[in-house]
Amino acid sequence: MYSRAVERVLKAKKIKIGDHVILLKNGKKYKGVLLPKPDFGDPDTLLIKLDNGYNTGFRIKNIEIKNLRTKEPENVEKEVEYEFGKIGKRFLNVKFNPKKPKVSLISTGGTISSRIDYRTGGVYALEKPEEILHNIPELADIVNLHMMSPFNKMSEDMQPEDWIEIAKTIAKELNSGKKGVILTHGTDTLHYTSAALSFFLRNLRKPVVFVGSQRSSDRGSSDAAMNLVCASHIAVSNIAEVGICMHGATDDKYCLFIRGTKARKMHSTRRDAFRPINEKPLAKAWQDGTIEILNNNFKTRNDNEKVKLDTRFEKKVALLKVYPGSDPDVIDFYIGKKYRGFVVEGTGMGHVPTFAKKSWVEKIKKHTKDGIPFVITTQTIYGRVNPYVYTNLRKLFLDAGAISGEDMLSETAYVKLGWVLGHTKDIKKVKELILTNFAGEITSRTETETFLI
Amino acid sequence: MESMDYKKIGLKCGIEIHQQLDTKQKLFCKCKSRLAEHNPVMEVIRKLRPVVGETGEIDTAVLYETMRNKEFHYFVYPEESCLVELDEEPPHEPNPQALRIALTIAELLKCDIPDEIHFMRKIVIDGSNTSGFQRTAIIGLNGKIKTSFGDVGITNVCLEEESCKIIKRDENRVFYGLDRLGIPLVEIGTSPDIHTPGQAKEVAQKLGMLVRSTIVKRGLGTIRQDINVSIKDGARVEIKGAQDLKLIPKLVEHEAMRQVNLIKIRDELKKSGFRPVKPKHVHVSHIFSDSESRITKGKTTHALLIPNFAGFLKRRLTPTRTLGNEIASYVKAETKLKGIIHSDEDLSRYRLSGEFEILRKHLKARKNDTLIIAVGEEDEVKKTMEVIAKRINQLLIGVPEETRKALDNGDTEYLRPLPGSERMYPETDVMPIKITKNLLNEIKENLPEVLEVREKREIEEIRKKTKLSDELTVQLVRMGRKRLFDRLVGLGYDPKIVSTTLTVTLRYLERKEKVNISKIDDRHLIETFEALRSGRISKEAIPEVLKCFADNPNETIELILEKTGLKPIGRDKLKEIVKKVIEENKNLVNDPRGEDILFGLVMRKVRGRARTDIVKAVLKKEIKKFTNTHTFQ
Repeated sequence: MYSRAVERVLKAKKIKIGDHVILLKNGKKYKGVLLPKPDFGDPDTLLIKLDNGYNTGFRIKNIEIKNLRTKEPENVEKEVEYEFGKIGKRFLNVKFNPKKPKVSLISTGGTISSRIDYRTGGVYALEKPEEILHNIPELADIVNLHMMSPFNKMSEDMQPEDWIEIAKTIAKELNSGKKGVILTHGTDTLHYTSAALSFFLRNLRKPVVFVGSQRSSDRGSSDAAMNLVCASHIAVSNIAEVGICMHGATDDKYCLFIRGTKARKMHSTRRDAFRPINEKPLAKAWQDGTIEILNNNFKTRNDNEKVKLDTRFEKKVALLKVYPGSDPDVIDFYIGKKYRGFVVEGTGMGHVPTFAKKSWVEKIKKHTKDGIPFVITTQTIYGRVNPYVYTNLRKLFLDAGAISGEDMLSETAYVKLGWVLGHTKDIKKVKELILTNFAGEITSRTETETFLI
Repeated sequence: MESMDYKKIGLKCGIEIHQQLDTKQKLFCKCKSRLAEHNPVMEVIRKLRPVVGETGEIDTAVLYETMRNKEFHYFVYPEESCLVELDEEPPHEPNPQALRIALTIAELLKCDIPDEIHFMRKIVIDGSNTSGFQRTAIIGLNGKIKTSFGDVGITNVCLEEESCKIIKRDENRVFYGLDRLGIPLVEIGTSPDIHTPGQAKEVAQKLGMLVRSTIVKRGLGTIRQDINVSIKDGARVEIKGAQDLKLIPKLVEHEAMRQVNLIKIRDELKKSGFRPVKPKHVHVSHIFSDSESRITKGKTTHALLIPNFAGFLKRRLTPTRTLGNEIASYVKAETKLKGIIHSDEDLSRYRLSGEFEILRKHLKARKNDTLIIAVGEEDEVKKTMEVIAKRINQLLIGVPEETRKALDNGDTEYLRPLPGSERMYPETDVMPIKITKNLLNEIKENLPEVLEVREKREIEEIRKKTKLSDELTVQLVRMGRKRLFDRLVGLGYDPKIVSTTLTVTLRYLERKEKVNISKIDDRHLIETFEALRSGRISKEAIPEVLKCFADNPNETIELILEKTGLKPIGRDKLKEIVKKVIEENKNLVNDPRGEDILFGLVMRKVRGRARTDIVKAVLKKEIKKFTNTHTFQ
């Protein structure tokens, strides 16, 4: 936003944002278009797109501004149009072939379905989901896509209600004859949603493929296109699982399809940020349609089966992390807020502080007695929780009654506890369900070559 | 060709220079800002896609297809590239040192400095930027530079990131080095205020001097010049890649000439009622495939007939280039074919005279008609015919706007169509930079002496102090080694030897011996000159010692002398050598000039390894011994 002082000058001179203006500075003239002010930068500085295409700032005090009242040169006009979010009509119109397998593309937001917002300087959601496809015409050779968008949210704003809404949309699409579903989603919490959907979609016998992108699709180097192409191949494949399909390496060569309960975002910015944890990826997918199965532990397609929705979910679940100096009293805070269950991300094999005032064991013991379940996972990310190696820890599991999260990811365990508590509050039953493998979230044996891949 | 009246033809010329800045770190990350010396540790393969609004004239679908088949390979160097170069991490804050240098250049060019600097993304999809765009910002506007013919306007000074260095390419793949990507670069563009080839050279020279008075990189490839040339009724043509300053006037002259001649051809064609040709070509392999010419034997040949065009293809556009050459360069740039053969050239060279006679009859061509053939794969030949027809039809408009490549002889060659106005959009990952009064004042107060002025002063200073030749003095100053020279001379070393070493010797080592002279530092030079002064090495040994220092920059002079075999020899060994020389040249002992000659012979064997005064003393003693033993025999 411009400052009041700027607004006053513009009003007095009858200049609007987007007008072609002339600036006088030290006797020199500059022509350009007045741009809106992003929410950063000096509010007293006018932002002008010069006729050479460059944006640059002029402090209102240093210049005199006049409205040219002429049409801008064509190139500038186009640029401005682009920046104001009106995309030109020049992008490719992807026409889908009804003979290709029907697949739904459900767009929920995130980088993959957004573009630069000039005004805020950030990114904003595409108005029409079709815009995702503007430069990926080869999708039409693979699938007959049906686009929809139940809502548009950035990944960090996703809530359990949103998972439920997504699940409903997916079930509707799959049960009305689609071969598979592709879901575009922001990457930050993508693995939470993929875990939730893994539990919500019971009797799933078709692929549900999550796709995100780490580079926005307004740039030539975006990873969105390749991710979507590979995801389309997976969506019509035989792998009837919920999973994430994104770059497998920094190269634009192949994608990995990783089980939805075993995937984690392991890098803040790289294309190949999503990695499988404690399990091999299900498959490698290339843009030409080649799919290499890396892990045979998956359900196969059966188009005659229907998905059953099971979205009962308890939202009052917290994910806590212990660390040297951590205060177990935070548990009391949550209990006061009527929380019904906890996942505690312990250190090493699943340890929590055991000593005196800072002892988490006592606190866990006390609340467990009251029927509140505690699931212990590890902050090492890789590996399995083991309750029996150290004496002190035996107390946690034997005396205090905490539940071992096995080799589940903390994020997956958090989602699973919410789902389990949606079905029962009986602590014995909860323990039994947490230790039951519903969606490949627990692997009973960890293969050697699953570390750091 | 007669010399041209540039005023009459309305020559207009502008220059754009790109100069790398000499910062320690890159513009948007903390990588070392230099070209890598070691081999890459990794190769990353990427593709780029056309994005919204990318295309100008070219159809999106066509561009999409070409891009789909293109693969870019990036070489990763551990110290000179990181995730930012790989487009795997957003840019960091712009390098403040680079910003200061760019502001200094803008100030020296008397530019208006914007109050807020905004980086833009300029879309580039040839793979030279992993992101698909180049980050660039305007640092200065509306400046000027003084020349002998008046002020030349500076339209803009931009701070940008350097692109990747191309390493090799084949049909569908381009290999790039990531080391150069992100080195800060300043782009300076002038207004078209230049009206003669000589002025173009002067402006390029003046701009070069001006940027070199700030902190910029030196050496091959660190500065690039593009020239824009147009004449009245002609068109703007951009000439890329003029590396050598001396070539600039010739490039401008030839381009002006080319445009004049194209306009002449246009007028003649119009007058003669020449009609645009269609790329209607005939499959004529049956005439050519049995020929004795290797070019056409057993291949697909198509022919194109251009009515009333005889003689035009051999018309000269510049002293060494014909219109035929010109059209062939379009074919070379836009198809896989290497060129064309036409009836306006000497066909006996290709042993195709007979075949062309048959072709002429076959197509019922008249004497006035031109025949062109293209040989190659069917699809490429068809494409070639379209390219030829299109270019010939452009003759009717005169000069097409385009980008051309500078050739070493001052001619140019078609490269690609002139890019439309480049698509730019804001770089939202980089925050705008507010230019404060304090910063500007600081820059203004610390403006460097412009190189031109500094050079004059330095030459004067050297002249006052020493008796060096003018040539050596100028070289020392031009190479920027005056301060080092002062230091070494201040330590008492011989000015002549020091200056020769700093200019002739170092340049010889760099160019002829391919020595990396950037490794040679002040200590190496001081130790070398000290060894010379103490007689441990001779003048002639200097290049070898310095070369050895460049290869072993951490060693002391002792080890260098050992390695080079220049380690001083002991007195006993010296005695032995002297004795042997006397023994072999007995007749010289009684010669009045014998001692001098013998000294020369000994020195030839021990040069650089023994002090001359010691050699002299030992020789004197040994001669005496020799005469004593031999006289009384």
